[in-house]
Amino acid sequence: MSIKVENLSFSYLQSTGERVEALTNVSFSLEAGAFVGVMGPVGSGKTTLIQLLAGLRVPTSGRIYINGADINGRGYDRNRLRQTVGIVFQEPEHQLFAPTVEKDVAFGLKYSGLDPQEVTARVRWALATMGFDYDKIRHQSPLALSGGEKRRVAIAGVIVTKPQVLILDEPIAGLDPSGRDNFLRFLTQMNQAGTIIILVSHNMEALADYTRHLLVLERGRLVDSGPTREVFIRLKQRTTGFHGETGAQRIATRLAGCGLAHPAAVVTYADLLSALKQELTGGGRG
Amino acid sequence: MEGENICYKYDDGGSFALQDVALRIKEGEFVAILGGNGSGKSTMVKHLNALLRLQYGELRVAQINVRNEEEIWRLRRLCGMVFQNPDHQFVSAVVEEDIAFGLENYEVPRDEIPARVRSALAMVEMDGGYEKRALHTLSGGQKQRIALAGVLALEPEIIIFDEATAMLDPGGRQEVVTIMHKLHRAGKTIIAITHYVEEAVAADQIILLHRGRILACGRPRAILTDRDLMRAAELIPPLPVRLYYDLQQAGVHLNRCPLTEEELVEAVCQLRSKI
Repeated sequence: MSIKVENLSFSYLQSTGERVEALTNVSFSLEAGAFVGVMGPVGSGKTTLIQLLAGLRVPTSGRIYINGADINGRGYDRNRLRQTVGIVFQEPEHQLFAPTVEKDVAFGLKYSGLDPQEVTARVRWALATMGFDYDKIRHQSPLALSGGEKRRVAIAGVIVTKPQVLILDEPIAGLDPSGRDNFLRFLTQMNQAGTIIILVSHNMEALADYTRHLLVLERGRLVDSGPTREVFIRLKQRTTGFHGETGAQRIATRLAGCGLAHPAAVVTYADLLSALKQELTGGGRG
Repeated sequence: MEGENICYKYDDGGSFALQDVALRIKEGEFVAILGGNGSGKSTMVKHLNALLRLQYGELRVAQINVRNEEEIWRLRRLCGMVFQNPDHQFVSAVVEEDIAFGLENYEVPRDEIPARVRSALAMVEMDGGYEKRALHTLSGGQKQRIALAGVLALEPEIIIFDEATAMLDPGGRQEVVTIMHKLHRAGKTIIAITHYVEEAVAADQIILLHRGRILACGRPRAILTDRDLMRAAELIPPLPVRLYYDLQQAGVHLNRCPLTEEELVEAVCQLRSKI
């Protein structure tokens, strides 16, 4: 599994006749096993980028290759794309529609050719993965659940097809902290099982703790990309434009005032904890 | 606001979304409501302006009995609400038209509307050129501030933020939090539901909900530094609190459990100067 994006641009005409460049000349490539974060301010092109990757929009120029095949090329099988790439939109709970949770989650398997027993097993797996007790929830109406529960049911409806690439647009906004951690751990498991994960998020801690690679968008342009830790360190040094930092980075900078060594190397909570252990037990001085 | 024995059950035959909830919120207080998904946070605040009608118990908001049908519109005007997604709260495509919409609905005299719109925009620090802007050209934080301005134009005394920062980028979140505190200082009662525990640190009172019941309420320090309580509510304490306990486990003892980043830095620097 690989994804290659070359000089991708997308623009559209506004009702005023003005042309808006949502994405300009974006290039990157992802290999099997990638866990990628996409960050940038609201309106920087993140959602446009993932809509293009999922084949929901056609680029104005540039190419997207999945496993070497141009997904917008003539003769490309769009059905294959739908089976390969799963996308969880912002607030996916708005897509719930079936009378019961079980039917809603199973909908994605309708044309999969799986036999009913397999469908049930998959639905059970997807719901359990999202932290539900299948027997308790299967007959409930999805519309009667709380906001966070609806979100988890909607995501179960996407992962039930076991896509090879899973794209998520701000999936953890509105989830409580334990729901957030469970969900991110689940993404890690999917990733370890070989799924490429593309996670769009404003949550700096989530991006720092879970992704291995970051893409930073600003005004439709890819302004930085690379291993997560390196990108966070560079972002911290930026003086203009989008500024993302983790709580641990912010605290480490302030602690430099009382002599914390190498504050710039601290990105995650775990970094901060181990730096402080070293400093405060005198372990770093031996 | 004073409520007793509030219970609520959605008509899906499920269990109680709220059970035996009592609350007391003073005028001008900043109250943060914390709790996991499905804990009843949204159900609770929707009672305050009668978006949900009281089924059991008693609730009075600014001396208005929320059961009183005749007072509902006055109650809703008094008690404004901002939701998670600003895009769902707009009814118009242009900033000033959107803010004027609520005023027109409440039959505010036409000639008063422009001044009310301007003053609402000033309160969210978006005066000076934003009146004619198309909403879709604004950033997330700006959109949420316009949604808030639409609420403020009705001159509410109480403003409820139902996860109003959840969808925003860090900059946008900071913008909205800053305005919340500004409104609080101006005397408004602020009720904020949030999943960012850091946003609750500066509140006067925290109400901690779990599975439809109030688990605890009190000062942020008492609630957020109580690791067992936070665990029981299925929440994660703020970073300085977590760090305090994790360091303790490693044999490093800060002089007290810090709640804010300032306190953490102070405690670490103090300990370090002794080594």
